[in-house]
Amino acid sequence: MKRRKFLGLGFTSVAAIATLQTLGSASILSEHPKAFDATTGDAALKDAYGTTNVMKDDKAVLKLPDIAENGAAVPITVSTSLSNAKNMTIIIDENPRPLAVSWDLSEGTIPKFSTRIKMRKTSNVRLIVEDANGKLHEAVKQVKVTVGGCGG
Amino acid sequence: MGIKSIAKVKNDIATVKLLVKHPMLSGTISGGKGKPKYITHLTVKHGGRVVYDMYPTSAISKNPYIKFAFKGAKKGDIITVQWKDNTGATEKKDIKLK
Repeated sequence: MKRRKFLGLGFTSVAAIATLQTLGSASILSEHPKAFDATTGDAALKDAYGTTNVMKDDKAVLKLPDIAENGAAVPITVSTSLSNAKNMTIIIDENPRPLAVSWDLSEGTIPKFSTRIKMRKTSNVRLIVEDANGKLHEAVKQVKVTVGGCGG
Repeated sequence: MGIKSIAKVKNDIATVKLLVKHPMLSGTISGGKGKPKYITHLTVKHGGRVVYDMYPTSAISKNPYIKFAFKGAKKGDIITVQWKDNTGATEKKDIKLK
């Protein structure tokens, strides 16, 4: 009887692992909630993707102002030239919680998004793009902030 | 609450701009006395398929502005914007593509 139970357990866990793998990086928030609470950029990266190995190439494209007068609303546009990327994440290293936002990409969606971010102070802003093979591509840009914006 | 939108189709590509009314509070205001309230998940669906899947945090500015585009749209199609915040509040809106 015990043996049967044991076997059953084995099968369920194998099934669970298989499901996780097919989902891939889908919904970083639900699968890696720790990443959102990480206090350093590298910890956020490690929690979200399991690695801090990134390729600095032109696959990830980051558009930001050089100087932000108001850190409470910094316009940002992120994009990638990879057509089958799985995920994009913005990390603001000097923010209390560096992981700012993450997108899952789906077919038909053009991987170019604009929004506005809050920055506490002058910081490097990183865009991480996860490609179809799970490799990470990075773009970095420093933004000088004259008035911080994390008091909200 | 409320969602303002501009959603236009040109040559099969829909460009969507949204302004979502939300405080996006981090809870760190005046030494951490405030309560956090920010959107944790925002999706846009087009005919049952998710065309925009965003996981924001409190590092997204107050009243989030969002711009994106997707392929395979026609004038008159309906897209559904839906968000959920960390306090469990939700909002849903149907938008007709012009």
